[in-house]
Amino acid sequence: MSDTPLEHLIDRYRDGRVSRRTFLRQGVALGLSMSSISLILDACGAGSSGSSKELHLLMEDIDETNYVEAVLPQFTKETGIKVSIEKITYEAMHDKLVPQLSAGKGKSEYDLIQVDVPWTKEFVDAGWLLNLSDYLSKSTEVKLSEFIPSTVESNGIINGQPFMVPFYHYAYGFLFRRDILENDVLGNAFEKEYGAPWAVPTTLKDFERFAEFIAAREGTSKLAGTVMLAKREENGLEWLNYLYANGGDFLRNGKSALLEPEAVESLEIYGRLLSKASQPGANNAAFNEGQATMEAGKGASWIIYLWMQTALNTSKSAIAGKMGLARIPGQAGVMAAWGWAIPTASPKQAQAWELLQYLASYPVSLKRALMGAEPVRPAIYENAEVLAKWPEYKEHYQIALHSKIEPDALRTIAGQEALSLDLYEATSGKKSARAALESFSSKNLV
Amino acid sequence: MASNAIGARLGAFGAGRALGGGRWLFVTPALIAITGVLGVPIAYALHLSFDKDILDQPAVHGFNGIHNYTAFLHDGLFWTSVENTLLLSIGAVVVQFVLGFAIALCLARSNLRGRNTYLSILLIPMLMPYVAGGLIWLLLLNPTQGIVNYLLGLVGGPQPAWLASPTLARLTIIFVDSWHNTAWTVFILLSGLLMLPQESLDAASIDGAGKLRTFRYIILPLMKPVILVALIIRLIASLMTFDLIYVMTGGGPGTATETLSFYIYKLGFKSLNIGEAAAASIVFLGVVIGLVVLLMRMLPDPTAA
Repeated sequence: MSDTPLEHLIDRYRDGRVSRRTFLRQGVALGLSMSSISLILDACGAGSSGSSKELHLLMEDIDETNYVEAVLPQFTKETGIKVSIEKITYEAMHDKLVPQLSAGKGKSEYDLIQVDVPWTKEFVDAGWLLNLSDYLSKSTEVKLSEFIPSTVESNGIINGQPFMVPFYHYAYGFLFRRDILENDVLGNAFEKEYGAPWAVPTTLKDFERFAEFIAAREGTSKLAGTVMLAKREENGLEWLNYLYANGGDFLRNGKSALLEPEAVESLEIYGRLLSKASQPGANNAAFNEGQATMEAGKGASWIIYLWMQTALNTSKSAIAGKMGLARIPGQAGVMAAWGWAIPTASPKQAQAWELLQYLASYPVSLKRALMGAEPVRPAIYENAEVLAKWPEYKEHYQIALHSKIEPDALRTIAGQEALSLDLYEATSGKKSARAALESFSSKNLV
Repeated sequence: MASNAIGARLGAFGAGRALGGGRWLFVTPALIAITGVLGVPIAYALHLSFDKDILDQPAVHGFNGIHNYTAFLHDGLFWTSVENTLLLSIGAVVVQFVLGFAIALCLARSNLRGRNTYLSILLIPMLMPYVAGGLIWLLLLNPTQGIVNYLLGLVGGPQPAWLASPTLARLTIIFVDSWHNTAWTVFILLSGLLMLPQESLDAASIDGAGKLRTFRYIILPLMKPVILVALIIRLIASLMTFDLIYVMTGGGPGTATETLSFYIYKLGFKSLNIGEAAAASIVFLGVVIGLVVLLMRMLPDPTAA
């Protein structure tokens, strides 16, 4: 006895009760209508596909995400919830998140997301991120007080409310090639020319001298004095390190400090290094290109995230094991952090919190750190097992503690975009450094 | 001719009259599809263009008059993007036309063997998605690790940073766009060349006209409608180029390659200002429609005696 309309039709055809033409016509109609109904039901269904036993994440395609993937099987075993991660490049993340987060209650495809500093305020203002106060107050696994304060301050608290839990930080440090600093030929030549020791630079001006010396001697195509990322939307954060390193700031006593001598000088140094000491094409270089330049052995140094030291040293490249790390030459560098957040449009907020709690908990954070993830908990940085495996984390922790978070002006995309364009005007010679900073200051974003 | 008479009888309204009121039944499915896919989004965009709608300011909402239109018209970046759009589009179309015509003339030779093979090879870039092509060229043109600079270095040539200076970045975009789309121009112009009346060309040859004179006084005038179609369609497509810019330069260095479509994308996706982005899109749509109308007017009337 046939059950479904399709089986009924097949039976009738076999019995000769319908012609072949009728069979084909009705068969196609049945097939199309079933597909259409299925599609319509899917479209009308509650956003995130799959059952409540599945969670979908959107993450950046970098090592940190691989470490998260590695700890998910245990979560699935403990809770029965499967987790899938969509990995994409940083440049595409914001564009993918906006339509999903604005889709409406229960309609987001993503249940847990990682959010960067310039997006958080905008997402919170739009009502797209869940306030985590309730969850945090009841949690025994995750307390914001257990994280490095600047990682929470950088990205987790908006208008006094917690919307994120730190995932990993990208505080900046000064990465340098140990083999270059151990090169006696270079060292002797430098000491002869400048009468100064061939050592890790400790001020911004020392760094400028160091980078320009290498570039002039080797040629930037062969070995850049420093790798720089001056592509639009990348140069702002990079220059911010120069500003802080030179003792400058965005605000002092509530007033703009961008026209103070330290700030102007930092931009002048940034511009000179870009034109004389950086790798060819630095003007349009983004993070992946910078990494490729370093891995090809064509950069002597790089002001970049601390976690890149581990990534480069463990890479299968010409410079594996050769990267040293020091503080940004000068007074301070930038601290910024990615955070875990739950979209208000997610239909599985409770399960998403369960996953967030699991990933941010001490035991799982420890597992990730042992793989190479950059910790955000002081306790992990001080863990003997972690330090035995990654002794450089001792320095990472000190650098993280002494780094400064981004100013409010740069915690929005509009602010970063505006700064980026003004910086470009300065570094391309269209405006002086002072005029460029005046232009940015006049936009009332500071 | 008989076929023209039949064509005239079976012209849209002729056929319609023959079929009676049922003619609309045949076009309804297409109309529904066009309305759904095109009409509704455009109407909604038009509605949004008069609304104050900024996604991260949900409390700010409501009718905004023509403010969205005047806002971006006062933005210097908008005019920069218009200038860039014209530069890149016209530059790309000129290159594609000149190169495409030259290739089409070579392929149109009656004694050419292997024409289909050449056409197949030319087709390859065109079949590649813009994003894939852009990424491939981004790697090839990397200043320190790309093969182009490596080969240039071997012969002692310059090894510039192709996307780091405004002028070079624009030329590179034009080059990659042309690499991708010249084949389309070749196909259109080649079909036109192959349809040229051989008698006219033979007559010119008999009268002693050289290749240059034949090209100038016979081929070009006869090819005028085909050339116009090719130019305008390529111009419309070039004006809307977005993926290449997104992948290769992100609108940079600075704002050197920020086109109108990229500007609109930034307004909508970065600034989250949906109202202004919709207004800019409507203006852009108007320009493109204007070009389409121009194209339709330039096309010859097939029913003219």
